[in-house]
Amino acid sequence: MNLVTWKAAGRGLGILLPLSLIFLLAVGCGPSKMAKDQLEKARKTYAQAKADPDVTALAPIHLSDAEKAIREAEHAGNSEKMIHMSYLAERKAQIAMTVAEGKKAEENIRKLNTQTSELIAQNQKLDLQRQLEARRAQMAAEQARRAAQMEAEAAAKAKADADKLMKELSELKAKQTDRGIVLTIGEVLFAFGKADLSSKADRNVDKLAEFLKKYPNRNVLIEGHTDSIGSEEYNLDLSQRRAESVKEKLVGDGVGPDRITTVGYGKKYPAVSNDTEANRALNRRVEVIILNEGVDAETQIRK
Amino acid sequence: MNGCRKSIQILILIFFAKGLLLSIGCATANWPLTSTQKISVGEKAVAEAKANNAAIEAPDALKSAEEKLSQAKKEFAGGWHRDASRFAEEAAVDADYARAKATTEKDKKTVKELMENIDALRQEIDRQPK
Repeated sequence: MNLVTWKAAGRGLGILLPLSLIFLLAVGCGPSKMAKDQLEKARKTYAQAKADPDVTALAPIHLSDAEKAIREAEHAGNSEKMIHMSYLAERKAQIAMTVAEGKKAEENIRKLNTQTSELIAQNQKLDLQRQLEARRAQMAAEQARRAAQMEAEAAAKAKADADKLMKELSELKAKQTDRGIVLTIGEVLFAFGKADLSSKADRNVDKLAEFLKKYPNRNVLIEGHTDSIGSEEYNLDLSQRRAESVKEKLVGDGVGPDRITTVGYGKKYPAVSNDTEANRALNRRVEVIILNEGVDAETQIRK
Repeated sequence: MNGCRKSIQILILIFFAKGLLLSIGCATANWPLTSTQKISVGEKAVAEAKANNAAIEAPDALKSAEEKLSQAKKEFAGGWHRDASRFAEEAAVDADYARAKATTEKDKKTVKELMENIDALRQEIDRQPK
């Protein structure tokens, strides 16, 4: 029995031994070139992944999975398994890199979202500011419009006042000049060499006094003139006296003396040429300048 | 003759011992997943990749995964369990890669869009009177 078994075993060995040898030889020859190439490819991909600090930081588990697969591939007992494990290892290394890239993108998304919110807030703030500024500008424009309107109304009122003044003074033969309203009292006012007001002039001065009392803010500059006959000194004195007599009359009518400034020009500023007696009579005159409000009389005196 | 027999006996013993060790090794290597389980892992991975839009963002890897998965099923049906397992494993990594790629590409697109938005917002802010 025992012997028979061993004989059978011996026959079996005749077949098994060569097979076993072939198997051992195959293992001994090691993996095929294809398997080695595949492993090399996997190693390269893994090395690339490992060299990337993003991958080691963001996909460490995937990277270590890839490394395990590489080790398994390296220790694979046969080519087929090596090719298979190398393939898995390469893919796992690729997954590690892709995951790291994805994590980085996610991180960027978070940052960019924050940035977007900040910019939106900034934009809204600017928008609000712009609205506020627009409203402010609108208000300023409205104010300016109102001011302009008030100014226009004031100007219209001033013109109306001026017109009214002119009308009131028309009886006094007033004329609007750049120095203010100038009126010449009477036509033939003073006798030759005299400073006394004629009775006609008297009435005119009364009207002026009435006007000045009605408009207490309007002061007057009274300018005396003479004809060309006589010395300069004499005429200066005469013209001053003529101005003074008008002032006296006004003060007598109740106008404050501080509102009245007098000046004598002598023969210096004739109204017309002194060639006839009629013209000379016109030059013997007093001109009253009704000063605009707030104007200093001294500044209006002719040089 | 007796000595010859003895040496043959030892050789046979060594041979069987080696075979036993190898078979244990194989069993350990396959542990804990059977080829059926590996196929189901592969199927799940492919499904997840598809759900994550891999068909558009990583079509090559997804196609490879699907082909390997069907190959695994075919091998399994033919009784070739080891091959079925390997195809299933490769299908799973292909699908995992396709899914990761799809997710990453989607995120990268989002990054690009956000950057464009930010540029637009910046321009809008710059245009506003300071």
